[in-house]
Amino acid sequence: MVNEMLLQVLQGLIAVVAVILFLSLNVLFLTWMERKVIARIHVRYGPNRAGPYGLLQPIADMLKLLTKEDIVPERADRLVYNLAPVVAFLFALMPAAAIGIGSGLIAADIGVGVLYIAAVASLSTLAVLMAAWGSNNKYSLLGGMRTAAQSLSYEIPLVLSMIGIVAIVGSLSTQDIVAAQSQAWFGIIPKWFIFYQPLAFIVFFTAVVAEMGRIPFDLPESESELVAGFHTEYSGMKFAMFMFAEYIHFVVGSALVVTLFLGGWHLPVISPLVAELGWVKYLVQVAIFVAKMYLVIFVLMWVRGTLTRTKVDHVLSYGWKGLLPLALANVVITGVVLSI
Amino acid sequence: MLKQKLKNLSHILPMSVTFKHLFRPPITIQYPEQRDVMKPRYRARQRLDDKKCISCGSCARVCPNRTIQMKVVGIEEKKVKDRVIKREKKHPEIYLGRCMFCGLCVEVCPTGALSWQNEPVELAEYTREELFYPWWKLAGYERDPGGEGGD
Amino acid sequence: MAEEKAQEEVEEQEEAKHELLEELRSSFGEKILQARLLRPRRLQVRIKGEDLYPVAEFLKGAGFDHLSCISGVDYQEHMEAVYHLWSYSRRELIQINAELPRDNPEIASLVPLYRAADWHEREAYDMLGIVFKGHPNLKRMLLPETFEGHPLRKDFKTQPMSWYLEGEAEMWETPVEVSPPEDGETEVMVLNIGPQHPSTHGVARLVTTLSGETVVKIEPVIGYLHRGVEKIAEMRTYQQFLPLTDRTDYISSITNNLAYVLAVEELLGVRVPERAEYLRVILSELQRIANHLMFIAAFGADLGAWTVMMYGFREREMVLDLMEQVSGQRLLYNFLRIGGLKEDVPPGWEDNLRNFLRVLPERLADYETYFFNNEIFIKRCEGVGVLEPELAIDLGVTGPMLRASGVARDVRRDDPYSIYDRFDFEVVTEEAGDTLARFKVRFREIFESLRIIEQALEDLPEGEVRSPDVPKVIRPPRGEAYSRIEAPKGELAYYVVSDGKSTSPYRLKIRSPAFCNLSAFPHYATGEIIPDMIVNFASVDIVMGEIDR
Repeated sequence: MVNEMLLQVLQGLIAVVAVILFLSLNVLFLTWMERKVIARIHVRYGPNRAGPYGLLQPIADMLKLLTKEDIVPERADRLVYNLAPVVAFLFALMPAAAIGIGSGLIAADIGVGVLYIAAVASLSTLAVLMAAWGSNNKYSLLGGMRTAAQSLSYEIPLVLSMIGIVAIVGSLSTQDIVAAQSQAWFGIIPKWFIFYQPLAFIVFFTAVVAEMGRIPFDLPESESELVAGFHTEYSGMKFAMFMFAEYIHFVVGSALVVTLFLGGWHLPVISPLVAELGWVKYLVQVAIFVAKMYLVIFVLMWVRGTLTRTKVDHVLSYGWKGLLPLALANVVITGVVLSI
Repeated sequence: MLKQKLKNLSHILPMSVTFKHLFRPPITIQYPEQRDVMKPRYRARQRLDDKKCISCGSCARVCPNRTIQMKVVGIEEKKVKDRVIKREKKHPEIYLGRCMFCGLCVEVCPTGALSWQNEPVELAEYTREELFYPWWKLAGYERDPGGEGGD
Repeated sequence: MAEEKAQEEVEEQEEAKHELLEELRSSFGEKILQARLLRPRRLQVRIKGEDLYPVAEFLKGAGFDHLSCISGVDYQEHMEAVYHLWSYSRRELIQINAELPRDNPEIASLVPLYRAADWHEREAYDMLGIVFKGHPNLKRMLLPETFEGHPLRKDFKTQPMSWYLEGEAEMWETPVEVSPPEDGETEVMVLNIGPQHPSTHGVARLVTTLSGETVVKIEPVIGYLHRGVEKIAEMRTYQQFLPLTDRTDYISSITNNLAYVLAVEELLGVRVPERAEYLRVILSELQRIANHLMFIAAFGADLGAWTVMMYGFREREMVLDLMEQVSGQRLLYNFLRIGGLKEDVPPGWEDNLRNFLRVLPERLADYETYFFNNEIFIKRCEGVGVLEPELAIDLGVTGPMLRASGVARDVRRDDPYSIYDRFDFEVVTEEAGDTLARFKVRFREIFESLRIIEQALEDLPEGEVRSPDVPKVIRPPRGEAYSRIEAPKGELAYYVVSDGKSTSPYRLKIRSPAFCNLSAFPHYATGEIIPDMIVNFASVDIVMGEIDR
């Protein structure tokens, strides 16, 4: 009995460590990749001094942030101020528990995966508000409020667009959703949900960009027109925590897009080939998943390099008056089609 | 109309513009390993040819910022009809920290003693005093040759 | 000798019964102390200070709707306030010299007639101490409030003053007069969009009064880059001052050189050789292209599209390379001289220019694809900061801002200087008057400039580039000159007064377009939210060097 429990605890710990390791490695690579991709769009080099092709740049950044002075504003609310980066980091990590990168390679295969992710994803707004309030700075508060408004408005279309998929699959677990996309027409064209639910894909993609706080929905990150955002008063490692949390959001959001719409770790010709090869199958699945995830990440970086910022009232009107009706229409259409 | 609006909303055309640029070679150069080549007329740092300078002082008079001063470097003697005329020989000294590189001094010099040195010049120094270029530094000498008279 | 000949010509023309002069004399009779025709389309009248308001009112009724400049000159026994009014319908400029006693210079303010007079009068008060009665807000403009003395007076002695520490801070504490909040309304907040600006517009400071997110009142505070260029001009020779004109509008330097050089050449009566004229036109249009590319880059950067900024600077680099080949510097050229250019263009430059003319339209097609198929950009700029045409003319706005409101006025067309009347180009206008229209006007003007350069390149004659009539020591005869050109930002004008005896100008006044465009900004930019105001501000296209001088 005790042995069983211990084994389970050990399994759980290994899973947690594995998830955190996977995310951290990806985030480190992403900081380099973002700067390089944006630089190439700008027709310039990007970091190429720290290590070959600048690959050690994230390490250099980390060292720099570690050695910076930690400044706390005089009249800041200490508890809230110090807790906000931790909370941000924590709630950024939590959705990753229910997303799997291979069949069975998942930290917590709970039956209500999608519901869990939707619930936890909305908690990260709390960290933003804590940071904004705890800084005791007019501009941080304004920035934080705007961010909270944006996050709230885009959560609802996000969740609603997932409903169509859940209705088709009949289960809330992410493993089942990916397994449902493993077939292919004529053996070549994959039956991914992007083809079944194009409207939901558009809504989800836009909403996930808004949740991540990237251009074009840039209000939290660099509201440098006027206000400097909710993390103005943070320096050093706390700022690093916020940046880390933001990139983790980026990775998790892309992973979610891949899981829900792009078929997870399935590819039409290769997956049946390796299905019988034992542990090699897992490697191939992880490779396919990571490749698809980086494709989505690249597209998001390309969007960042191209588009301008939207205005605050346009952001809210796109969310409430544009995406929400589309998401609802998608639910209705899916229901009608399924019942036929 | 609707088609245009949808096309705009998808932003597919702006994205194609930036995608094209992903595959172009970078337009920046890697300083300090690669240096840019300046054009022949580039106004970077003045160069003095002390053999041609006739000590007229036009450069000092024309400078709008008054950064050029004439420094006496010797007494020149000339025999004219069994008299010996002594004249001061002066060379310009420029305080590059105040110079705005307008080019009037080079333009007004009657003999062309002042000209532009147009190889890549890096003028940054650590102290303000090093930016004050005495005449021998402008002329390309390493140190002050000592009070020589003119030729 | 030249002066007497000019005087004879002038008297002849005066006797030829100038129409406007007739009207003035018939209305005011003896009050017109003296009238002269400086050159075609430049009439000068001299009146006493107290007669200014009726004369101005009469002129406004006669079609003089554009107040170009108000300056003050300190002649040691008396002072003069000099007004330059331009009529769009008659295409004529009138210069009014109003004489004032020196110990108590007071004159009626023209703000009720021309709202553009607001900032000009404040500057004249600041620099010379002329008090404008009836001005709504006569405070100092370029110097801090606590400064003592009036610098452009001839007896002003520079002395160390510890002025700026006390008293300055308290002035911005109280919010400006807005009615107290009612139930449910928010309190107003005064926010300083301070001198350190996030976007690349130099040290402009906007004191905005916000109610929530809406801007209720804007007050631009300028003077952070004031270097006293006009006072320096009185202590440098005409030749020495030329590099300093570069530094006013540092993005397009040749046009500043051109305005100054045209004024001095008018005073000297020198004709510039043909080749120099054509080359001047080519260089000015190149500067217009460079300026508009910089505008596009900075506009994109303000909106958050850093990519556009990189591309804009890459295109601008091509123009700067061309200019480096010609003059030796990339930004502040000091290339025009009184009587022509400094030297001829190097061999091979024309081929580079032709190559540039071929390459640029392809690159600009990219911009067009990027901007006009971009929903976020269009929605952000459309309908923001609408400026009505009548308000624009009343506020003294010129340049692309005016043309974006539908008023087709361009100094190159209405009051041709140099050889612009030989070229065929279109005056680009848009009807909407909002930020998107201003962007489109500047974008299309690049193509018009390319056309002008092509035409000038075809007809470029051989010859010398410097007039041999210019004396070594430039000492123009006594006189005044007002040269107006179409700088990329608007109407740039230099008012040069020479007293015939010295080698420095007696008074030099620079009428910069960004100064007047910025003075119009608070009048039409209120009532919007902050991001809109930022975009609006970016579309005015200012450069602090020429606002503060």
